[in-house]
Amino acid sequence: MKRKTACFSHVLLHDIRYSILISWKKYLALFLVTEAIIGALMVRIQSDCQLGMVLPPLTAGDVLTYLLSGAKIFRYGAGIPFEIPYIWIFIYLMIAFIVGENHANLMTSRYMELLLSQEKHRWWASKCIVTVLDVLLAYVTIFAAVGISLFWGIKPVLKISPDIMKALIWKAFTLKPNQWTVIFVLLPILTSVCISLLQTVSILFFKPMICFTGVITLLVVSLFYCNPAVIGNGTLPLRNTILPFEGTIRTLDVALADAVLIVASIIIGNIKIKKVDLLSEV
Amino acid sequence: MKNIFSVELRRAFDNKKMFTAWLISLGIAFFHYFTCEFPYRIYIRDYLDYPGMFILPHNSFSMWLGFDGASFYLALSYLVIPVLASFPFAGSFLQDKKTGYLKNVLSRATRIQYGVAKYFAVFISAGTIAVTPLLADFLLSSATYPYIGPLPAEGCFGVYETTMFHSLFYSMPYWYVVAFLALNFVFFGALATLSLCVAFSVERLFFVELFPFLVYFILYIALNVFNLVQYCPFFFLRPDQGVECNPVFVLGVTAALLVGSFLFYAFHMKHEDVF
Amino acid sequence: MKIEMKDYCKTLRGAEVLKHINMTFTSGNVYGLKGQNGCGKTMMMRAICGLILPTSGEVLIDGKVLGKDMSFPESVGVLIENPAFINAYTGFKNLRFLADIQKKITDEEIREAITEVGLDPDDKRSYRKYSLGMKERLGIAAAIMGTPELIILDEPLNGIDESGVEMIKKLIADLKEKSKLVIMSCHDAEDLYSLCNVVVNVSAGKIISTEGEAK
Repeated sequence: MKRKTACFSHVLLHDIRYSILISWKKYLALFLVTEAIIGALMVRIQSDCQLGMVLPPLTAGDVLTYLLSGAKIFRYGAGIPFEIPYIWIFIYLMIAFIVGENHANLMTSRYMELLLSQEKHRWWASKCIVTVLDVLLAYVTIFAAVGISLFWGIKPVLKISPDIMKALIWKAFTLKPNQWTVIFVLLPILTSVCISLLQTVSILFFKPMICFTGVITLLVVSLFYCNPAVIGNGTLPLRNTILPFEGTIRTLDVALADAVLIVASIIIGNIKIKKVDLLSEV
Repeated sequence: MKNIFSVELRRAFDNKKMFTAWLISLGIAFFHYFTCEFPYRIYIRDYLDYPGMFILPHNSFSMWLGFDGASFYLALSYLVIPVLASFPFAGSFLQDKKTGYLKNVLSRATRIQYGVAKYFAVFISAGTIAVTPLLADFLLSSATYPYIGPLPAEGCFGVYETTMFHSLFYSMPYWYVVAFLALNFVFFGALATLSLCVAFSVERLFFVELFPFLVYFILYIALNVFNLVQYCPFFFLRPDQGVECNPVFVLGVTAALLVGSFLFYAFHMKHEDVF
Repeated sequence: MKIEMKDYCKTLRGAEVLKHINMTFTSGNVYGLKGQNGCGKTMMMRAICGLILPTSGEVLIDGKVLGKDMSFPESVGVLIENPAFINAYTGFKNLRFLADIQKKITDEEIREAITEVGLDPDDKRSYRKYSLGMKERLGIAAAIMGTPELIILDEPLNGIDESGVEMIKKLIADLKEKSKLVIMSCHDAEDLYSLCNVVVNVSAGKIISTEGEAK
């Protein structure tokens, strides 16, 4: 027999190549918009300095904190408008868009790949890994954008300046490097992976557009409710109990919730894919 | 022409995707009503029992979704509406091309007839979904709370001298609601027709259906980055406004979107090869 | 290769699309599924590939139960609606991309498959610029590349010109000579009877009759 069982690494490599082919323009857009946001930030700091504020030079840590900070806890009350931080929603909706388009025709015209992969669980495992890689690549893109902006005079250190934080996020704070890494990078990545895997598994059940709507709803509801059970709170570092913003999100709680949901998504997807009928409707 | 138009309209409204979009839009309205309006109806009694109270009672306008900028429902609606509006039928042109249905239709009707019917079916279906949360919620709040004309002194509406239709709001508030519903209908209807335009060059259904949202979202991000939020549809389409906006600009943009997308689509429909 | 469908039933959204299908397919034969639109031909093909699971009954491939002992046939090439090709890639590059999942099909085999369907393997045009007939031919090339043991073609002659039809007919005849198992459907009865040594008449999800003899 000419065709033998496909090796998992080949299946994974194929999916990674497919994802990059479909999504490279979106990563480029993410990069360019991030650069524009950094540029606007630098202009703002400069104008604050011109208005008499004494601010130290921006560091890479300041810029990353600004990009990834999200929002503080929202206190519901008359006259207090509910606002969506545009940088935060941009990053996570871009990730949702990348994941959504990558997997949009999973249940329709990509049946050939499934047949060539030979085993359904192998195919599903590859899809999950590619989802994780999509999220990681989005973060790498953001870091690359900050890296490029070092050529504009931003200091290449991860230390955050309390004065800059006071100017940008209304309260001075400092963090140890490992604390910063956990709540601004690792925890949001984990939560983003969780949300993306939930989106991927829901594509097995619903239309991709409905799943995308679900992600928007989850993100907006997370902004409103400061609760570790509402998983989007992991992407909002300012709500962490470590920071002085009266947040109530504990790192461990969110990490546990994310881990449980990640495992559940993978298992549910594996069960579903074994039973699903691929009808390849256009 | 009338036949093909009614066929396209029926296809637009009589399908599972439309039902799903209805369900979600009504869900937003019902959730808002049951969490943010219904529990507070008990306080109406207080105003009747204590007529000397110094504050104005809750009324159908102050409790309406369109003015509830404090909860997440309004912001959620204005992020989700462009997605829901294009979901039912905006991708149908691409699907017609892919399935070969287009060839069947063009042997029975002219390109222009099909094109116009398709365009208006997408426009009307998208506009209908767009106004559903606001309209449904307004009907519910009107059924629960009394009508009390808004007063500028209240300060709980984001409608001021520098916002759109402010004099209309304080003189004929129902017409203000109608004006915003109409504006939302036309804007989101026209936005959804961008899917038809992009379907000539892109063959991925997810991208085509999401394209109107992407345009809307890119504008939201770009205008926030450059601090020009008064020109952002996310803000100027909301009844609570909260930003200074020029009605001439808003109506101009809406008209330009409608006319621009129609002309683009009509031109390509006339000249594009159908395989 | 021997494929047996044993009392295969499938219900989808409340409708019985396949009813008590009992059929055996063996290598070295070309089986043609004949019937009206919506009679269940494509569903039968999906059932044999493992793309759908039975409500009751089973499909056995060389004694192994599909869906239990194996997810999909080990050596299969399928054309059921055009698969998702990359618009920016050429035809060759698209097939190379798909073939890389198994890393068993050489460039030469891909070029051979593309040539056999009447396309040019060195054509620099991207898939986006292909006509409907070219897309259909590329789909067939994707199904036959690497010469799998089982080849399933759902209406392969749709949208293809006369010379292309002759080419595909010759291709199917060659596959039969090579003792492959080919299952296909076609609306043109004349083409079906000329290509297939067994014609299966399907109506309303049931096999009404079979004509011809398998080797």
